[in-house]
Amino acid sequence: MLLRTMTATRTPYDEFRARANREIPVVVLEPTPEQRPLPREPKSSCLRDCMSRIADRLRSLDEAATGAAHEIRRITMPKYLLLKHYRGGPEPHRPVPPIDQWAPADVEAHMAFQHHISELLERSGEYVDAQALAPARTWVRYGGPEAAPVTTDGPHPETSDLIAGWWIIDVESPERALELAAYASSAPGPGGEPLYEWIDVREIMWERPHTTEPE
Amino acid sequence: MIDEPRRTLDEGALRALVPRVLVALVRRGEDFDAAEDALQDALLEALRVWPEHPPRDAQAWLAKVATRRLVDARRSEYARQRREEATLADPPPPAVAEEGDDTLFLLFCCCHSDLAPASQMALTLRAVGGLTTREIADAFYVPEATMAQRVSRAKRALRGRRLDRPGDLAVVLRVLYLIYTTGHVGPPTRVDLAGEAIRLARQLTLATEEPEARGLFALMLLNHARLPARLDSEGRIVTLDRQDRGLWDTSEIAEGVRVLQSALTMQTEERRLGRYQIEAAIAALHDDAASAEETDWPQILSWYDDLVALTDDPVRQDPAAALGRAVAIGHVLGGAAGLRETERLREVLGDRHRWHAVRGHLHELNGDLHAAGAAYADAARRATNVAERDHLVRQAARARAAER
Repeated sequence: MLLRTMTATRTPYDEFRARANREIPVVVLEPTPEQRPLPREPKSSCLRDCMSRIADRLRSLDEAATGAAHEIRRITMPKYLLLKHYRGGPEPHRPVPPIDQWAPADVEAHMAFQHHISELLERSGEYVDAQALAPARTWVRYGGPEAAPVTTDGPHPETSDLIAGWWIIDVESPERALELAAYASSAPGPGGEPLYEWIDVREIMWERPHTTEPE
Repeated sequence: MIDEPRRTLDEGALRALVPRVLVALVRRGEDFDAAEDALQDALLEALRVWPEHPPRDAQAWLAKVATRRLVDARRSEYARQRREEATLADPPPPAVAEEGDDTLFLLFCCCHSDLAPASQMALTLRAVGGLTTREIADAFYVPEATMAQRVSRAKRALRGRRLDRPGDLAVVLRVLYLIYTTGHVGPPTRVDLAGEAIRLARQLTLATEEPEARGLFALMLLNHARLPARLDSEGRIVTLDRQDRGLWDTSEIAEGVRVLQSALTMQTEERRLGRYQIEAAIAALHDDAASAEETDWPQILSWYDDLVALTDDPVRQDPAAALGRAVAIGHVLGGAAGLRETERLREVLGDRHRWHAVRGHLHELNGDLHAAGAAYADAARRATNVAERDHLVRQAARARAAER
């Protein structure tokens, strides 16, 4: 079903955008108590504050409406890492069996969607990188002087967080990063229903300072 | 923009000149390392300048520019030496092997057994293949600076080594085959590594009479002929038994068979068949079948018997051949017999996706779709290539759906 929609002129991405109501704020879930290792400041308000600060900054640049302001905005386009996990992260919104147990048509639709996202990002000029990681993991550390490196597959290899792969995107705004991550999360799962998979969104820090400091 | 006539550069012809010019420089007594660097500069210059100003004598142009670079480099090196008050004269130019085997000579340099395989491949593609560092970097998915470093480290490792003696042809063959398989397995890049390996193998067969060189060349051709059918329009892997055989390149198959035959006729009592000739024979048998059902598995199995007989302990020394033989056994004697054969390889290959994938196939031959689905899923978890992983997930889902 999905494959058919994708060959039509209106892509699933168009559908997604058409349905997305920009007035609805991003729903921020509080972490469940058992997921919260230590008492701390509510993360949600921090995220919102941070987002709105960035948005304010961009808006003020817009309002300045000068060529120079436009230039600054262009060169400060943030890069984001959209991480997919094999396991770990918040409680799954929709638990699903491993993909090799899905119906073949659902597997095809899911894989087609992954290709479609990479193509979409390349076409929009937001693509930087995408990689998949094999699930086998080895932790390694320095073994000490004249000792071999020490390796382990982790204290809880069955339950610990495990990254499956990522997209790196170069986007106009943090909102755009969240929008793309949410779209990636809508990839079809069993029965063609969206997976509602949690995507881990991280801003990539700049290597060089934004402004030139006097030497 | 005004539409000016776009002059297209024959990059293939340009690249074919690189090893010739390089050998001429080295035979003249230039240091291999410095000459190779200078020529890479000349190549980049040619790629920049020639589209607008094609030279009258391309080879002479490259030699001249490379020589100019060498003189410049030597001048600054001489100044440095003077400052350091180091030794006076350069060592005398090495006596090199006789004329006429330029390609072989260069391949022996690049595939020196002291170098790591990644360096051997990079150096071969640059010095013999005439590719730029950037192109090689793209083909191996590493940054250009990393590849440049790999090349110069390799050449540093060669410094002081005698490069005038015949090297190990077996290493050269292995490097060319590695280049081929890297291109065959990976997603398409701007540089066609498989095609490049075929070009180099063809040159090699002109430089040596060794039947194994022909065996490798034939193996590449017979394999490459099936490449157009290996992926469908969506980029999905299509296994041999499901390929549209009409897409196979018949002229490549014909050439491969011809090359293989010419190698096989050189077989004598003392000279046993080498592994590439045997593998080429197996590939030829697959290419020869008009449909998967018509595949001559008994004959393929007998060639696999020859292949594993090349080593004393095939399970440890050549597990890939032993695994291929298990598949052939499955087709000749049944899936269960093939599965028993794979058991001997569990200890060596049990962590590899291919072992599990083969077992999935053998379970299917055996009619056990449940076990096939589980084996394909195990294989998918161990795959290190996205296209193969996706393929194995599909195989698992297909087996499980058919089981229901």
